[in-house]
Amino acid sequence: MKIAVQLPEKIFGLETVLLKIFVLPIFLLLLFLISFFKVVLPKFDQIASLKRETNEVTRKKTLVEKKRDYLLTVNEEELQKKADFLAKALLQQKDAYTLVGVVRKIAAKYGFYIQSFLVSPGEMSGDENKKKELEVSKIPIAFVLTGPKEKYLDLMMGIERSLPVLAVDSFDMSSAVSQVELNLRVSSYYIEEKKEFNIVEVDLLDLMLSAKEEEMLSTLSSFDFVGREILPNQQEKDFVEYGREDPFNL
Amino acid sequence: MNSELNLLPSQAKFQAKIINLKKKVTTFLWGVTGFWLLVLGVTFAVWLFFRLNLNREKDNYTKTLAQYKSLSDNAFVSEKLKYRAKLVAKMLDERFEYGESIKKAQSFFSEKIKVEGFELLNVGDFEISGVVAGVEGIDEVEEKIEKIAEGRLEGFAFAKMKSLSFANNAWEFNMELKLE
Repeated sequence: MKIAVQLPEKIFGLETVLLKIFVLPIFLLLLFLISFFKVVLPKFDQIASLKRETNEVTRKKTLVEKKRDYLLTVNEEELQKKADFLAKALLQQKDAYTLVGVVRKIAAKYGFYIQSFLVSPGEMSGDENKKKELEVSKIPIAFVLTGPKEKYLDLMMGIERSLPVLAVDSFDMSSAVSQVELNLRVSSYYIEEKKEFNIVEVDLLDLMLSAKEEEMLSTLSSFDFVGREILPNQQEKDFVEYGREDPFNL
Repeated sequence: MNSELNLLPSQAKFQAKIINLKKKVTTFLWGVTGFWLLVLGVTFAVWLFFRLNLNREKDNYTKTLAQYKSLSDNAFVSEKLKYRAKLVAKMLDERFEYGESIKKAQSFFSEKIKVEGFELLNVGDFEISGVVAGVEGIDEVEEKIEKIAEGRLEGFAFAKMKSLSFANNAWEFNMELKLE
């Protein structure tokens, strides 16, 4: 059943027929405006966001590619050799007596002996640049060494050309006729390794040795290794108690 | 006589205007709608392009990351090596090499000059006392001090004659020498 709407001839002074012509254009105009604000503008924002996200993913991909390409060029055996060698440049155990043992061996080579040594418990400290993966401890010990006067310089050179790398923090010498007494404060470093390692976040520069570091490795290769070898996967033996029965109560 | 005869009544004229206007409005609407559909189509196409591009980049990134993670052992050893190398390099840079510096200070003079006393005042700062017979020997000492003052001797920062005396046909001197 059709419902006929009877409109007046004029509305607000304008011919109704004319007004009817503009109904559709006005309706379409509203539709265009709504679709512009609801569809087109949000799509522009999404496009901008997609572009940003794509750039970010491309950037990350490039970084990972560089790291991957570098690791593909690395000779595994050579890398492990360098790592094992450099492990010798630091103390193998976080133990002051390891350092004492090292200094004792070096001193003995030049006819010196350790008269006394002092470890200050509060001074074995962690490095302020502690990293999540690797914890660093500095181990300083004060030594008094006695030995032949003509060999003291060789001893000092020996300390400075040994592995693990030792730093003489202070030096004081008093000499008699043929003997000399050296008061040295010697320190070395120990790194405790942790197992967590964020392979994705690590920077490429943290994987590559610089030219200066390669040169340093080459210099260190001329040093004498004095520390105790710790083989990989070497485990401390468990303490074994040997039981003995009381012979008086047999 | 009027040459133009107005045969259409005013109402008919009005109807003709309405029809004309309708045609124009319809043409305009088609044009605008067509343009608008084009805009929507292009917008959607661009959006789709960037969407597909992103998905492709993500796939490539995932593949590359998987390849990189397969080298995690090497990465771990490399990172460990680098950190240790940095630490050892820092140790070597920061440590003062007493042995080297004493050797350098002791080799300051030639064999003409007999070094009798040698003391480390501070890090890199030495007091040297010696004896030399003859003018050439003391000239050498003074010449070296002068060269250091002028910055012409590498490795030495400062030198100063603290005392000089002549006794028993020999010059006795005491000087301070600072290394760089």
